[in-house]
Amino acid sequence: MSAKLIDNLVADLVPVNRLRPMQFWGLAGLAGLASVAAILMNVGLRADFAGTLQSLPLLWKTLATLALAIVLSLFVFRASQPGTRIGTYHWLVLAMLLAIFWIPGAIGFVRHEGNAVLNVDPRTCLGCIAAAALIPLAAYLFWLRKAAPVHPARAGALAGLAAGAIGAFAFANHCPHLEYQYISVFYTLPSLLLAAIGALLAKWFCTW
Amino acid sequence: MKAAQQGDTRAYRALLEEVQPWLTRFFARRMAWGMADDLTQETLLAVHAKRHTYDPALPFIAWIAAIAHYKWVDWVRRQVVRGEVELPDQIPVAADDHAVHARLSIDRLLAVLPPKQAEAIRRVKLEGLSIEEASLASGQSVSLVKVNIHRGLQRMARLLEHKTDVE
Repeated sequence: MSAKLIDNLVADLVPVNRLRPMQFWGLAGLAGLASVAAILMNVGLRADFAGTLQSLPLLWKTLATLALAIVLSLFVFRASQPGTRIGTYHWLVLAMLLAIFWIPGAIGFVRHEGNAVLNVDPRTCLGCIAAAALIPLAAYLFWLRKAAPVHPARAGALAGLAAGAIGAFAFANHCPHLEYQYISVFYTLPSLLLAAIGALLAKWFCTW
Repeated sequence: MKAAQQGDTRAYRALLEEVQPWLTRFFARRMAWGMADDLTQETLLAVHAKRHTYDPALPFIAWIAAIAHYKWVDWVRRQVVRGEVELPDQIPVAADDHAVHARLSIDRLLAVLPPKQAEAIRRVKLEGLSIEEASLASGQSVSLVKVNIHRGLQRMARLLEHKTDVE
């Protein structure tokens, strides 16, 4: 029976366009630009952007979210191909970036500095980050459907995390908050939600 | 596979003919022979459908092994789901040797479960007892038997999914 199947598969053979890394990064870049454009067109930059451009917290949250978006996107790419693993080195880099992102907020909490900022209504930030992340999430799920993730739910979760980081990066230069505690908590929450959504959607649409 | 991606039918045929026995051996170590053949064909179809995902810069064996492992875990997951909704006597066994192979594979999996879960699965799914009969025989309540079966099957599926060494 396998011999007949092999005959059929050979008869069905046509040249294919291989999935290449540059295609993925091009898609990721376009999705990221679309997120940034969506934020700029809808809510714009923060009013004092020029004045705070070189402030440490603004630089920190912009660069940290960008670095997380890039590393998590790499994880999505590796998770989309059979036979490639996310190695220990990759996880160490991610852990280091997460530490850079969370430790300033944790220190603030320990010192009880500015914890009152957590009483601020975060819905605008949460909503904008999640909305901005929908474009890259859709792009990554589209990629995963074309590719062959051997752990679809895990790949979808990574796609959600990466999309959340992209959304956070896009929103970082509008958000008026510069408090480390606020950013650590309310920039992370949308990513976690999107990870759960990404895992569910990938399980339904990206199995093969 | 690189040549096959460019449409070379001779190379593709040679590749599939070499891969097919490897896949059959891969699955035969994990399940009954008849099922191994079905899963081999399923995997060949997946290889054909997803051949555009292979990167020639990476080892082919890692790529095909990952696909085979994925198909195997997916098969186990389907068995777990089917096992929760169908009665054991509806599962056909074509020949005694197939049943022996399947039983040996399942026994290896049951050995890593907690004793109560393994006992519940063995009594209901393998020996064909009803839930009530298994409850009486094991001393577990009816609801506990059901919970142990559900958790045991889920744990078996997770163990298989997280298996990272590929032969």
